[in-house]
Amino acid sequence: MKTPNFAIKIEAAKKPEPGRGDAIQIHTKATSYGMKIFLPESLDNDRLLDLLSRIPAKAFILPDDKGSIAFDFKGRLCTQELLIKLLCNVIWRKRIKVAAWLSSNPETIKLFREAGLEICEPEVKKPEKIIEKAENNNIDNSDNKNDNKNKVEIIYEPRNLKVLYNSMRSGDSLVTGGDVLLWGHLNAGAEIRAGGNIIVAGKLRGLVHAGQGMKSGGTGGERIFVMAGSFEARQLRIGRKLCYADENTAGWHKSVLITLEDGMPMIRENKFEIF
Amino acid sequence: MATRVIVITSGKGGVGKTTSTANIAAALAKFGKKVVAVDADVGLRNLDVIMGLENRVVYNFIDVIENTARLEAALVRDKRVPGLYLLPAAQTRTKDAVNQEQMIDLCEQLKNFEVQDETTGAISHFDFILLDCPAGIEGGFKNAAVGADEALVVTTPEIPAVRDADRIIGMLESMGKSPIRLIINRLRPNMVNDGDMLAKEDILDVLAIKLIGIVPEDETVIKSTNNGEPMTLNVESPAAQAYLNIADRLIGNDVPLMDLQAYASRGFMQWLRNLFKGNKRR
Repeated sequence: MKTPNFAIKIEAAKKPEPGRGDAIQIHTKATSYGMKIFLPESLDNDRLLDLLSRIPAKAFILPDDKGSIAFDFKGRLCTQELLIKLLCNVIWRKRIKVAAWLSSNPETIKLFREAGLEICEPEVKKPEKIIEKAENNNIDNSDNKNDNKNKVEIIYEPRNLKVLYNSMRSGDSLVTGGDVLLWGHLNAGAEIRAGGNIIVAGKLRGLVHAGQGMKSGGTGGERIFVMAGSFEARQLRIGRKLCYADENTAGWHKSVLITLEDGMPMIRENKFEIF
Repeated sequence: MATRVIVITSGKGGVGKTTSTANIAAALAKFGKKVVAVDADVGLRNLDVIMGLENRVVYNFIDVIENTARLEAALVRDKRVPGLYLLPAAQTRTKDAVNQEQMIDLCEQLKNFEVQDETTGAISHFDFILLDCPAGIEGGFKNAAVGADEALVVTTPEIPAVRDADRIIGMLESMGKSPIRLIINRLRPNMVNDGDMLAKEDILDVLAIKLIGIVPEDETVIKSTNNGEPMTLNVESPAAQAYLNIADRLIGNDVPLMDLQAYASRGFMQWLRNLFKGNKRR
């Protein structure tokens, strides 16, 4: 899909007189799925609504009417009132098709989730599995038609990845719409709730909820995974599936990859072998 | 030597914060340091009872904060050991009676307080201010911790206590306290050997902070608490020795951890003797 490569800059002057420096802008960014619109945090709600209403409706129409639009509220606290006004005065009036409502503010994410809005970035439509072949000019590829050694299979690409370098202690909490990589332990009493996948490089003892807010399928989260350096958590949530574990569960105290397959949790121990 | 302000905290209640404060304070004083133990548990004061000084409490630190008493009037000197003082909490007030700015101001007052040496008459400042923190993570904890530079986290070898300690350590780290060191209290080596109690390694694996001492389970603690005499004033038990070692390490001396396995075997023999005595009585 050809993605639009342009940016709208509607400026709102901080002072009542327009066009006098220090302008606050609504930035847009072309993405692989369409367009992302960043709403500035420094504008108050009324000014933001005014600014959005001044953008012509046709600016929200993507080429060939394909692709998706995502609104990114960044750290802004979106109230119920603001959301309703935004829907009534801008989204519905201009007939904008919004595929995702993004935010890094936990309260805002909660509001979007409760309103039934999609909080994860739209997935790029592409084949189920992309197989890229590593090129090696010294090897005659024609001889390797059935040889998978040079093929790298990519089944997942990070979305809005957040990387944390410290262990999370009891009481620590992280809520995000994207993926999380924790380079440390997740202690009991700590929690990560992510719209995407979760990787805990150390010991997974706390609560993880991967694919929170996912709506796909009956249980959700079929394409979501949790990875742990050492699986020691008594409870785990993927999509809408709640899973319990104990010392007798497969993969306990081991390095695991946990996914949902046909709505059932599937734990794979990491038994890496060198061929 | 600059005054070191140390908060003794745990998150969970009943793990031995106040007992640790009293015994470490007494041990430090025994090593010749000038120490004040501050009971920051407003409304539920106990430190005065454990130190055996409840009869001598006239004013408390809330009186000092509210300028109804001078600091020297509120400080209670322990006559059993030179250089040991108690600053009690108010029993009739709540934790809302003090705020963080007032606690910082109180710590500054204590740092600048001039203590006279009882033998030489020399004037100096406190070497250690130990703040006995209330349980919980709310205002009481924050008030106690805000004025401290260092922290001692007390935990027992139980999963809930360790989890609460983990929470508290996270909060102390975010407040910039350093170093934060761990006291494992009420450890039973026999139970650890049987796999019925968390071992030192299990706890350190979760909490990932430096261990300053392990205090074994010891019935002397209950006796000394009820008698109002810190164990470290008369070292006759493994727990008293453990607290003495902790105080020694706080000063900066390199003291090896106690051999708890030897204590475990002594404990077992003692248990057999007690059993034999019990049978004879019957």
